[in-house]
Amino acid sequence: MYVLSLSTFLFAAFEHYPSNPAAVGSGLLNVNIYAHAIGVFSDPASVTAFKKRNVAISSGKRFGLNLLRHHSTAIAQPFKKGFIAVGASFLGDKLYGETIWCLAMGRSLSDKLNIGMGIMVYNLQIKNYGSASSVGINIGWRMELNESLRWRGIWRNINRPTIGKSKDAIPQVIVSALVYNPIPKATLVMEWEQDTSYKSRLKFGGELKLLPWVVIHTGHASYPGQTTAGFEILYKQLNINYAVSSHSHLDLSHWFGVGLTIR
Amino acid sequence: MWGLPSAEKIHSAEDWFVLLGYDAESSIPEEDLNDIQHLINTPVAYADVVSILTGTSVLPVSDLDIILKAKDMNDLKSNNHLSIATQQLINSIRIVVTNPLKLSIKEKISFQDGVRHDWRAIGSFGKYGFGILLEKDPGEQHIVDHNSIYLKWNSLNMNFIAGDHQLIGGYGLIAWRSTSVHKGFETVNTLPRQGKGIKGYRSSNEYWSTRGFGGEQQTQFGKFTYSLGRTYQDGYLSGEEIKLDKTGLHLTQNDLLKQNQLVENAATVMWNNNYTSYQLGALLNAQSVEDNEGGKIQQRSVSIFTSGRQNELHWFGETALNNHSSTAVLGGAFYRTGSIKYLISLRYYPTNFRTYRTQPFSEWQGQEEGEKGIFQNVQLKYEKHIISLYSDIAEKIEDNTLTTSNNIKYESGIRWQWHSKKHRFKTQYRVSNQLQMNQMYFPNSINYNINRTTAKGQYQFQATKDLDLRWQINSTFYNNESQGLGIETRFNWKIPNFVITGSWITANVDDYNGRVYFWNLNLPGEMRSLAVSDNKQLLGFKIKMKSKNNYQIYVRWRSAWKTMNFSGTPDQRYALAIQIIF
Repeated sequence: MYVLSLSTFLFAAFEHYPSNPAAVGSGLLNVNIYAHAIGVFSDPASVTAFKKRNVAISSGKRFGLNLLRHHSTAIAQPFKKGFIAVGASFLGDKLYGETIWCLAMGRSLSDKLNIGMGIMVYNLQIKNYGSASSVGINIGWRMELNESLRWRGIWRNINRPTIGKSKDAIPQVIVSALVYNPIPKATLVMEWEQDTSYKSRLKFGGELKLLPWVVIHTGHASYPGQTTAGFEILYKQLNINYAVSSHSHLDLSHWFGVGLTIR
Repeated sequence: MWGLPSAEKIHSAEDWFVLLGYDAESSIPEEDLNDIQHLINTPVAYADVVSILTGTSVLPVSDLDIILKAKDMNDLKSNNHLSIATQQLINSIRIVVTNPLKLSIKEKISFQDGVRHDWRAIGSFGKYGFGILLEKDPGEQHIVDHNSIYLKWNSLNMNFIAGDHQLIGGYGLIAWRSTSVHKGFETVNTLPRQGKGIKGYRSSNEYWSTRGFGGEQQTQFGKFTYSLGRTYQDGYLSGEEIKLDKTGLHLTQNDLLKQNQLVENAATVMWNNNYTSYQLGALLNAQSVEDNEGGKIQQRSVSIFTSGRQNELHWFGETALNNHSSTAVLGGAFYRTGSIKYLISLRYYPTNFRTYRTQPFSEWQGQEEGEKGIFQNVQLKYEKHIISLYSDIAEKIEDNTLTTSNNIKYESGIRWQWHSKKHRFKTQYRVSNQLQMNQMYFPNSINYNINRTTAKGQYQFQATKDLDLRWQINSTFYNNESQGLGIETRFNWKIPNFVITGSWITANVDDYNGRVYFWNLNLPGEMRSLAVSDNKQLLGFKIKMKSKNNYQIYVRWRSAWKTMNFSGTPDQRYALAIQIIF
């Protein structure tokens, strides 16, 4: 059973991308709607949301498996006429490890349109087998349709990277999302994710600011069905996040993160 | 004869092509669809209106003349000699003094046997313009499996384009768009249209563009248009024949083995000039297509094309010669007054006359399929009535002798249309007879072995300003063996910020030969039809969310039951689209 479950979720390398707990709690979203620095891995255009320097770390364990432990860190900030972010992420253990290095750059083309690009260096280490690396390019955009509706898009690994001597394809993913703010304190998101090797995933989620210092998240993702929840504590420039996601056959997954905005 | 100009508007490119008279069986050039979509959804400067309209292939020649002579938009709107379809299109265009368009982005996601993803952008900055198309078919592993990108620069007398482009010239014997002129009731409007020149390529047909650079230069000796390209294509060489893979699908190992296996080096030059009463032009094309195994096919062709006018008579033609010493000819004459349009066209295409982008008006389209034929089309207008008739007789050129006929096809049709402010009727009857074998002409009469008869009736009712309803009944009879009958009820309902379209099709069809066609609920940039080939109930809805700002969101749902009583699990299909203009 353990092997079967593992084979389901380790079909190819780099399928588990670094996520910030707020996006996980809102339905395992790829789009970084809440501007956490960890989100620039999956959503490069979100780097344009960082008007101030933001540093974040995130850790967790997927499906309760030690093999799928992960740790990520990133820093994002304005840079000259644009925005820049760098980050690093590690998933795995001593036997099998995936490392992603990220350099994301973005620019506001107008008050309604922001674009971003991420250069990702993927490194895979397997004990006694050695390591291999590859470079992927992610691009994305953020558009303000009106005061309460935004459209986000991401293309991950658009350059079709492969890794290792066997040239295993690193997953290519298309994401398109609509973000809606019915009231200033609430956000709703509908996201479509297409990994070219799998069926589409539809994700729904959102956040509600209960108190000036407490935000709660919840969401659901299809194929496989996963329900998520999380919360965020805001204290001055510090935010502390926690998120959990369910799975019908596997254990719960947990994420924990801390972010700091530096003036 | 035509009355006052229409003040009605159209709401989608789909509405317009239906109004223009295209049936669901028709093939509509995707380039035209994109252009019309652009005009309807985007505010444009008057100069761009003229440029786009004269570049589309479906507008009647008579309308083209009026558009070119008009001083401004008001002049066009007040002209009651324009066809109803063009009047309604003109009424739907939002004019601005200077073109505000900086960027338009469109994303379409269709869930149908997998996911099809289509992302397009067009934009301009100063004298520069660009277009991007990125596309993935269902099951393809690369998120930009097909891409088409161009950058263009325009000035008063010169245009230059780098990237994916196409040169459309003459009447299709050498260089044309990916679809040929459609044969039917509206051919009188489109066959006399000459190719306009060089254009950026924005079609999702993956096998047609030229990748390289091209341009146009207007001189005192006429206009020179050129294209140079090195383009990778899917397919293989088989002897002296180029076997292109036109599906654009890269799913199976076999597909991947054919992907980008051919490289085409091509050069095309066109010259054309307007004289007092006629126009003359010439096209030169040279290309070599190579595969990875050292195979190479070289083709050269040259054509001369002309058109002219004397009072109500318009004539046109093109003749082409290639390095197989094959000479192809297409010619015709077009007569029009206020109430009548008549077109007669003759064609003679020998076998192996086609080069890479040959796409003339024809019945058969294979490389080795030559043909000869005569086409006639007439349109009569009397008050609110329009009667159209057409006939075509074509014979495939294979092994012709004086006493043997090969694959003869005879097709004819009649259509009657009538419209008032609130009601619109259309009914038509079409017969095609085909002989699919060789047969002695004399003394036997031709015993056609395929007979296909289709009949259609349509009634459209504008119930209120915000609600219109359409009923359509289609039937097919095939060789007294199989038949099909389909009925569609469709409505468009406008409410603030939304347009809801509903469609219910019920069809009783024996088999594929008795299939009936209806238009799908098309999203922007689509013009697809549904071919219903068995007993089926189809329900569908399309919702268009149109903001006061600059974006539109579309959702489509279609459900199909394979039984007449809606039992069993229906096949569900969905699509989403978003379009944004900056």
